[in-house]
Amino acid sequence: MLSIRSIALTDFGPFKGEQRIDFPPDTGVSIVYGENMRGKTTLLNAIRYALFGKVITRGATQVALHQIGNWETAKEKGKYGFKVVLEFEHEGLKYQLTREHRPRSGVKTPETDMDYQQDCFLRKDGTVLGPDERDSELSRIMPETVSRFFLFDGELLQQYEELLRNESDMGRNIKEAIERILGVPVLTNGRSDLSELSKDAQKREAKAAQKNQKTQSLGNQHEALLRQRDGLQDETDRLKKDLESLRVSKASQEDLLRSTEKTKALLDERTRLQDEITNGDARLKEKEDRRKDLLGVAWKGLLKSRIRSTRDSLEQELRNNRDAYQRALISTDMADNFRKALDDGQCSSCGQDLSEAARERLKKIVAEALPKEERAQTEATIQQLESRIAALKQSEASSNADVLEEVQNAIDDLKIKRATAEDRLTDIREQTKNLDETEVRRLYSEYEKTLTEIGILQAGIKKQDEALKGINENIGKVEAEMAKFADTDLDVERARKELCEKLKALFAVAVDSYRERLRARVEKDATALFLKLTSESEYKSLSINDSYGLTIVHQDGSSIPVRSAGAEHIVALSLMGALQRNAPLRGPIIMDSPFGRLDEVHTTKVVQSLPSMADQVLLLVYESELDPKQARNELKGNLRKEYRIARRSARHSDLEGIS
Amino acid sequence: MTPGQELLDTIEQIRKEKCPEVSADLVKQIVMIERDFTDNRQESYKRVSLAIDEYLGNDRTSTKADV
Repeated sequence: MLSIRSIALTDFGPFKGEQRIDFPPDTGVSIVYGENMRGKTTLLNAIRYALFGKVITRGATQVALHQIGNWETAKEKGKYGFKVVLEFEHEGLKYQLTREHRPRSGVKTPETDMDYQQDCFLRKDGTVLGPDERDSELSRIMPETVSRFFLFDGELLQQYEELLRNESDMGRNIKEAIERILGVPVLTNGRSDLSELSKDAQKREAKAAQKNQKTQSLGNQHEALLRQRDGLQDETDRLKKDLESLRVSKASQEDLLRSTEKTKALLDERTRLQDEITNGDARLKEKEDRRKDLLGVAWKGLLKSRIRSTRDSLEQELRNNRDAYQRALISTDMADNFRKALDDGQCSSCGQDLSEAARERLKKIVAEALPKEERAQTEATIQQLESRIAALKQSEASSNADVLEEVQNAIDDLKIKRATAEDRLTDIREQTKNLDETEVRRLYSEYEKTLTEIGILQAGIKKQDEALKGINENIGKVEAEMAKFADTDLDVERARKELCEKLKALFAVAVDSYRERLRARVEKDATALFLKLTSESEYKSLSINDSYGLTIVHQDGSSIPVRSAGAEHIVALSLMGALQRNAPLRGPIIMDSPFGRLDEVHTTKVVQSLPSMADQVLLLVYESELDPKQARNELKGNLRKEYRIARRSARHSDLEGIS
Repeated sequence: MTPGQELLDTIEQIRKEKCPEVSADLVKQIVMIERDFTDNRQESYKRVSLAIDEYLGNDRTSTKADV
């Protein structure tokens, strides 16, 4: 386990001259207090610089190293350069790591990184190691890929959120780093080495077979198949590499897209509004044409009451004519009988003689009966009346004011909608006038392209894998044939191949099994720590996903889908503690402003739990984030050392021990 | 149990169940090589190959066959 004993800085950032922090050998928490812009993050970076030769900002961007030296020293003394000496222990051995940047010979005023030369020395129990051994030793003690779990800042918190998105490439990268700290690559690398050795052994077997006359043909066949397989494998590997690089591109494109989401939403809305206006205009034109047609007959509306009254009187006339016609029809039928009765002088039904009065009545009825010509004329009058009434009805219908009103309302609605859309469009145009739309559109188009390419590559890899499976089956058949022949060399190579294959299979199973165990243990330990840290009593546990992302589980069994920045922080700390507890690779936790998002209750709980999270913890905090009295009360005997970063000037800070 | 020990225990348990004929020492040796050279794949490959050769009782170098 890596345990830091001291850090000595020379002209590093605001730390002018030589400044030093010592850490006691006992386990516990040390604290460095410093207000904003005094140099807390610089201290974290000094450790990063010593270990990896890098200084990064919160955005994970590397800082140009020529900007690191103390400005006042350079200005006052004309002295450039900076140095960090880190003393630490690991597996019972003492190490001293010195990394220094100094101007190249002949450069008086360095202006770029190229004007500096870097020196790095690692002393192991007093012996200076050579460059290769130094790098190998450092990467064994503290691999850069896992440094994020030891050098802890706000950036890490944001990255943890990615773990909850299984499909996220950033999440995949962090998952890899987590597995690295948990030791999974010990098994995955073993599986990979053994797989290569197994292939190597197959080639040896083919060579051995070729040397024997009996197996020569099989050996040749075997060798050809292996070559074919290698070709396919190379192609598959190339595709996988391309896929990996596309996934990395996708991750960075997603980051960029997230930052342009608002712009994209505005541009999309602008397009939508423009379409809405175009479609609205077409509908408006349609409605206006309809209104024009309606207005052509609208005058009829003014005559509506007169038409109605004319129609009423015509209808009355029609009724009268129809009645008269009906009566005339009946009279005509009866008139024939009455004429006969008048001629006979007696009733045609009862045979009685007609009285004078009866004869007179009959003569009148007979006189009223319409002759045929007149009947036809009445029919024509009725028809004429019917068609006039129909025409008047048509006029009344075509002057329908209700329809006209409806059309007018639709036109008004469309105009209001258009005006609203125009207003919003003007707003959006104003908001987007200085934006590089082409760039945003290009980003989205690139992203779509990347997604398509990923799909194509995945399909290609699937095809290659199927072909590989077929070839491996054929290789198996040839090897089975070769196994039928006894040959010393062949037997030796076969034994090697079989051992490698068994080992490879063993490591492959172990990878899955170890991952499963780890996930269960990380989930258990993170839950235990989370329950200590959270103030919410209804939260029951944390649930882990395949990427080691943790979700809060409520006591009713449901997941808490969205969590606050504070909750995110607590979950991230719980994961960090669980990783430390389960990692074969262990070291100090150095936290830069870890309580900024937390309230007092959570801050207290986190401070109380720090000693159980790692053997050595270094906090870099400002006093309003963690009150020194509160820290002393909560940590008690676990508080090892306290320092304060004192301001001398904007470009000069000193580290002072607090007694 | 330390996390490092857990890794060894996991693989040992599987070895006992799935392939007891494979040497426990050899497996442990490979795990230790991979642990010590996690970030140096060339070295780990070379050393694992050598360990297998030694186990098989031959001292040939473990460079890839010249195909």
